[in-house]
This record gives sequence, structure tokens and C-alpha cells, in this order.
Amino acid sequence: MNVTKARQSAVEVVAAALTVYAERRVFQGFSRGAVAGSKAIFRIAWHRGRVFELAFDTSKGTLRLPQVLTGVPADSTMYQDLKAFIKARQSADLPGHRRIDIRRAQVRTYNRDGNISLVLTVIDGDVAYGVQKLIHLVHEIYMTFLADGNYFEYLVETFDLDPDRM
Amino acid sequence: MKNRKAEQAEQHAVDPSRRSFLLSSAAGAGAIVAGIVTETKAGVPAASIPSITIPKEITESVKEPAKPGSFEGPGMTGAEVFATLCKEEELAALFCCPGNYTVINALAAAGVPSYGGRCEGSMCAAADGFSRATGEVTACSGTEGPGLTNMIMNIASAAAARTPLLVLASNMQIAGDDRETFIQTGYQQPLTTGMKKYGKRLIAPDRVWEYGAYAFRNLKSGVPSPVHLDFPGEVARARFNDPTKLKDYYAKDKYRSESQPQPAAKDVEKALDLISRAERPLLVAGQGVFQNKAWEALLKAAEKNELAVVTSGPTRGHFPDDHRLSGALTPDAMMSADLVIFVGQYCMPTPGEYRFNPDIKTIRVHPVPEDLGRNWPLDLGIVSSEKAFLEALADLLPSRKREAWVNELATARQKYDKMLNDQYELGLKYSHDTNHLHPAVLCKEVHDFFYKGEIDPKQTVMGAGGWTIGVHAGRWQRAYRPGQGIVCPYQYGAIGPDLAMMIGASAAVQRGVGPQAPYKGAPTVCVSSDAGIAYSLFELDTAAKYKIPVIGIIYNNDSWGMWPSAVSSARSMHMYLFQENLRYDQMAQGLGARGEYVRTPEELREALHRSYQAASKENMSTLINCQALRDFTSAKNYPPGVSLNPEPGCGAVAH
Ligand SMILES: Cc1ncc(C[n+]2csc(CCOP(=O)(O)OP(=O)(O)O)c2C)c(N)n1
Repeated sequence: MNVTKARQSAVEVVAAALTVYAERRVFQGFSRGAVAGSKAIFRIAWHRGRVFELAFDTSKGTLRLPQVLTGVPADSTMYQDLKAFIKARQSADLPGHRRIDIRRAQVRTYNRDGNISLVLTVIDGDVAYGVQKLIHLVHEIYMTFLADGNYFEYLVETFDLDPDRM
Repeated sequence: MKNRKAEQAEQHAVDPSRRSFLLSSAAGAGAIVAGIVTETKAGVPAASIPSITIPKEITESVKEPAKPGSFEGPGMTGAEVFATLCKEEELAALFCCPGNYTVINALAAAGVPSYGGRCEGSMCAAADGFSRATGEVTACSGTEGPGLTNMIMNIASAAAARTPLLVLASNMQIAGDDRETFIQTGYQQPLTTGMKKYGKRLIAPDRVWEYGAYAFRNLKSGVPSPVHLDFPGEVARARFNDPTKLKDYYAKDKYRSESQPQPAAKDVEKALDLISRAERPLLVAGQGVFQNKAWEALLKAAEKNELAVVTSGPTRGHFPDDHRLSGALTPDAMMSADLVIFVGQYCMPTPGEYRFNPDIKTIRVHPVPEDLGRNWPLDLGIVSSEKAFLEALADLLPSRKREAWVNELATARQKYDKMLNDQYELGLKYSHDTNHLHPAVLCKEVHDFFYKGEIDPKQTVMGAGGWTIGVHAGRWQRAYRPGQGIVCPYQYGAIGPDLAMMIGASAAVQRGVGPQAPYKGAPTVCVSSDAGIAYSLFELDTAAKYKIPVIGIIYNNDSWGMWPSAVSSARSMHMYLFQENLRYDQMAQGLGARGEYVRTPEELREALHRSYQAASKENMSTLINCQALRDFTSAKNYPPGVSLNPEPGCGAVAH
């Protein structure tokens, strides 16, 4: 298989994995964006009614999700807690089905002006594994980290929620 | 005829125990309370003020034997015909306020256990509570216009909870329709649109039996929900002296069927296959498992194949919280489940509301096909009664051990326990620092008293509501047997019905109905808020007059707990706050219940002890006013503040 074909098929693997989540109603909406060079974009309507733009870079093997959370200053406790939460998802103490295996994928967190991005790098070439783990991670950030932490007021302010209906 | 005042004085003279009890309990609760009881504000000595008494007319009338209507002599009224049908259908209880007189009198006469209270809305919540504790059909009733409209919030709550609740109201006369004849008339049925499974303004007197049958067909089959009938005078007061005058006048085995949908063999096979391929299956046992009384089959199926089980719905306990397979106290393990089997989940969540992982596979079992596939995409949908399906699983599942899954549940349970205890320790520090009760401390004390002390942990039916206190109470509320836990704000999120709902649940315990039989007569507990108690407080009079023992524990934080919404809006805060240090305990005393005022964990413990004694020995209700601080709601000053509990699991208030 030549390089272009290999890249195309990797993009299809990502698309297929994401489509399954759209069909299971994990996502509220999903569309494929343009493929430019080595980059493919996917738009995902998901938690808190937000649209997330997932960028897959075939040459680097990275899945990048900008603005996973916003309004979280880099020097805040919340950001430290989030990093600890993400690190804990990679801990060998967790059972396999809950863990991101660091031999297969690595996750980095970036914070620019309070906007948090996640970048998952696929190490062993298994892109489907990378997609699954990134989706699970973001899902857990919204379903567990934000819900269990002291972030009630953050949620209300950030997502302009009616506090009765979280 | 004896003069009423003289009679009261006589009664007071022969029944001093109640008054001396009030005095002694008040003395235990501190000087301010005692002051109020012994002397009025105007300085009039208490001795000249007659004490609160239950008049003998109440006691005697409750004991009166049933006297159902008959076709003989003057014949039966339409109301009596309807009441006869209700009695044959074993309507478990009626909660009402006067109004719809012909109908409530006929129901009481027919032998339906009946309760009259102070506010139609609360009586509606009480009927709902009785049903939540038993799974039985109950009724509420009120007068036309004002009575029915007062019930609306709690009819809606009952609808959200799928309670088999018969809502009854009179509605003037057909002869007056559209003429604004006299007062109180109104189109009732449109008011309950979206809150009922079936409703009808009865207009043909000879069809009163037939429409009673419509009502119970809806209440007792498929997925229940409220049914609303309004009775114009022409129907309620029509006279029948011969059965031939009634349409479709035949018995319940002819007008409805007890037949239950059975699962198709090929569907069961598919379910068994999916379960066999799952490593970490989780069964969500919804309200239907309780309604269908399927808890024994559930336990058998779960234990045979080591399925984790979490209950959902407005009633808790159809799978015991302390079972090693219970997922009620293991929120962290919910994300690990790879297969969910929803059984009798009347109100379906949408993916993203339940804390499940995005790859989870789904089986849903439901008694009616229309709802399968709604909100949540299915890998397998099965039409079946909950019991039939669970019995099939119990029969056909192979025995299997799932050690890793069971261990994961145990680890998650430890983690949750630790979280609760950390919150408690922090709360204890806050309580000591401020001399006010933190909600985590309040709830742990209540938990320890009813589940960890001398009382059988399975005995006490508990319900909770309110915002800050509601989320904490949910975390500490336990249910170890069917019907033990009531989730008062379930799905509709109403602040206010809690105490009335628990008085209804308590009436069911008092009578030992259904799953409450082994605990007949035991006191019940309601944990609620200061905003909430305003809606239900007066029903302490109802509890007292029927000697229904409820221990109400009120988290008094001087505010609607949503006050943080006003922080950034300077001209708004006053709308969220109450006067500080209001004395709900004293109000309770004024209604013939006991009152206790506490601010520390030690005081709460002692108050619980006294309240329990009074409840179990004298059927006295108590309201314990727990003085708190409104700042405990905010994580800014007192982390963790408040956050909703995860769904599904203990403390969940939705789906
Ligand atoms: C009948 C009703 N009114 C208003 C609301 C909106 N609401 C939800 S929680 C809440 C605060 C309730 O305060 P309280 O019950 O005293 O709870 P606390 O925080 O004090 O425990 C309000 C106003 C509601 N859900 N129901």
C-alpha cells in the first residue's frame, strides 16, 4: 500500500470508529470535515451541546481535541486536578478496560489562555484504539471529573446552565 | 346535646398524657420552646389555653364499620356505584380534602381506607407516597376548580414517577356547563394534559361503572400513570335501584385482564447470548420491577450469573444496597459495565445522562412495545413483563462466577465509602467551627441512627427531598428491602411534597400494606428542607390525628438553596432568603406534633432518640429543626458545596 492509501485508510478507521458512537447516540451529531494534506477534521456534537472539532493528523498519528474545556486558568487548582485525573486514567492500577495503555497511546494536555486541548498520540499504529480511548477520556472528564468535583458553579457559569437542570 | 367547649374541657381532663408529653418533650428541647408552651406571648398562663386534642368524633368515625351502597331501598348513588368498583379493585387508600363530597363519602363508606388532610396538593403527594411504598393504586380527591388546581404540582410529580394514582374531583353540574353558573366550575381535563394516562369528565350517569373500569384498566395494566376522573353532580348523585340501569356492569375479570406479556423464546436466547459474551453485565432494575413485584426473580437471576444490579425509579430497595452485586454505591464501576439490561425502566435516560461508557451494549425489557428504542438505541429490545423476563433469566442463565467484576464493584464501593466519610469529616469540622449543622453531618447521623444502631436496618422507610440537603440525604439513604426508600423529588424535581408524601408512605407502613407488612406500625423518616416544609408542614395535623408516626428532619438554612444564583445580581438576593432562625419545631408543636431544635451532632443524636421513642411508643410525629448555614451550599466557602449525585445509583433523582 502506498503512503496516500495508508493515510486514507487510517482516516477511514477514525471515521468508522466515530460513526459507531454517532449511531449509538453517544454523540448528538457528527460530520466529516475536509481532509487537507495529512489532516482530517471531524465535527462532533456532544457533551453540554458543544461541538468539538477533532483533528486527526495521519503523518504524526495524533488525535487533537481543542477546547475540551474552557475558562480553566493554567494556574488554577481545577487545572491541576484535571491533569491528575487524566494521569490517573493511565495508571497501571486501573483494570485494562478503564486504562489508557501508555505503551499504545500517550495523552498530553495543553492550556492556552484557559482553553484546554488534549492530544493523543497513537504509538502502536492502532488508530481505532486511540479514538476509543480519547472518546472515553473526554466522556469521563464530563461525566465524572466535572460532576464529582467541586465544579457546580463552574458548570453553571461556563455552560450557562439553569442550576435546576444540570 | 353537650356543649362543644364543655366536651373539650372534659376530654382535656381525662387525657392529660398528651399535654404532659408535649410539655416534657418541649423541656428537653430547650428553654425557648418550653417558654412558648407554658406561656403565650401576651403573658396569658398556658393553663387557661385548652390543649391540642384529637376529638372523639375523629377516633370514632375512623373505627366505623364499612357500609357500602346497595340497590335496595333508595338505591345507590353514582358515587356509590363507583366506590363499589374501587373497593372491588382494592383501591389501597384515599387521601383528600373535603369537596367532591358525594364521592369521598361513598369511598369511605365502601371501606376504602380514607384520610382527610389540610391541603389537596399535599393529599395528592400523600397518595403518591402510599403508592410508592407499596406499588398499589391509591386515590386523591379534591373539590372542583380550587381543589384540583391545588393538586397540580403533585399530580405532575406522580406522573413523572408513573404512580398508579387515581385523581378524583367533583365538577359542578353538566347543566351549568359553559354558563358560568355559580362558582368553581372549570374544564378540568385540559389541566391534566401531559400528566395522566387517561382522563374523563363523566357525563353519562349510567356509564359510571364503565368509566370506573376504564380507569382501573389503565391503572393496573402496562405502564401505570395517573388517571383523572371528574364527577359532575348529575353523575355523582344519580340514583340506581337496579343493575339493569347501568351500562357494562360486569366484574373486573371481564373488563380487564391480568395476563402479562411473556418474552419470546428467540429474544430470551439472544439476551442469554449477549449476557454470556459480556464480562461486566449490569442490570438496571427500574420501577417496573417494583410494580411487578419481581424482586425475588431479580435476586435469583443476579446471583446465578453474577450480574451487577442497580435500581432506578422513585422507590428504592427492590435490590438490597448491601448486596455484593449491588451497584447502588459504586458510581465508579458504572463506567466499566460492558452490557446494560434495562428492565422496567419506565423513564428512559438519554446516553450521556447515565454514567456508562460509550461502548456499552444495551438490552431493554419493557411491558409495552411503544417505548422500546426511545432515547436510547438498543442492541436488543424485548416486550415482556418484568417478572416473566427475570424468571426466564433465573431459569435459563447458567451459573457463572465473575470474580473480577465483583472485585471491581467492591473497590468502587470502598472508594465511594471513603468519599462519603471524607465529606463527613469535613462537614464535622465545619459544624464545629460554626456551631451549625452541616448537611453531611446531619445525614450521617440520621444514617447511623436508623441503619447502624439498635433499629433493624431494614425497618425504616425513609424519603428525602430539598436541594442541598436532598443531594446529601440521597447519598446516605439506604434501602435493603423493597419499598424502603422513597425518592421524593424523583424526575419532576418538585420542592415541597416530601413530608406529605412520607405521611402517605407512613400510612402504608401503619397498615402494613404489601412489602411493608413485616414492619407494620414502624415510624418513618423524612429528611427535607426549609423551603420544602412550607408546602407540607400543616399535614403534621393530619399525621397527628391519624396517629401516623413520622420523624421529619428539616435542614434549616434560612433560604431557598438556589441563592447562589442571586450572587451576581445585587437586587435579587432578597427573593431567595427567608427570615433567619425560623422555628419549624415550634410550628410543629402548634400542630400537635413534637418539636426539637438542634444545632450540633450530639443534640441531633439525642433528638433522634427521643423522637423515635415518641414515634414507636406513642405514634407521635416530631419535626426536628436542624439549624444550618446557607453558606454550606456554596463550594466557594465550604467545599464540596453541592453537586448532583450520579445516575444511576443511590441519590439519583432522575430516570
Ligand atoms: C416547587 C418548586 N419551586 C422551585 C423550584 C426550583 N428550585 C430547585 S432547588 C431550589 C432550592 C430549594 O431550596 P431548599 O429546598 O430549601 O433546599 P436547601 O438547599 O436549603 O436544602 C429551588 C428554588 C423547584 N424545583 N420546585
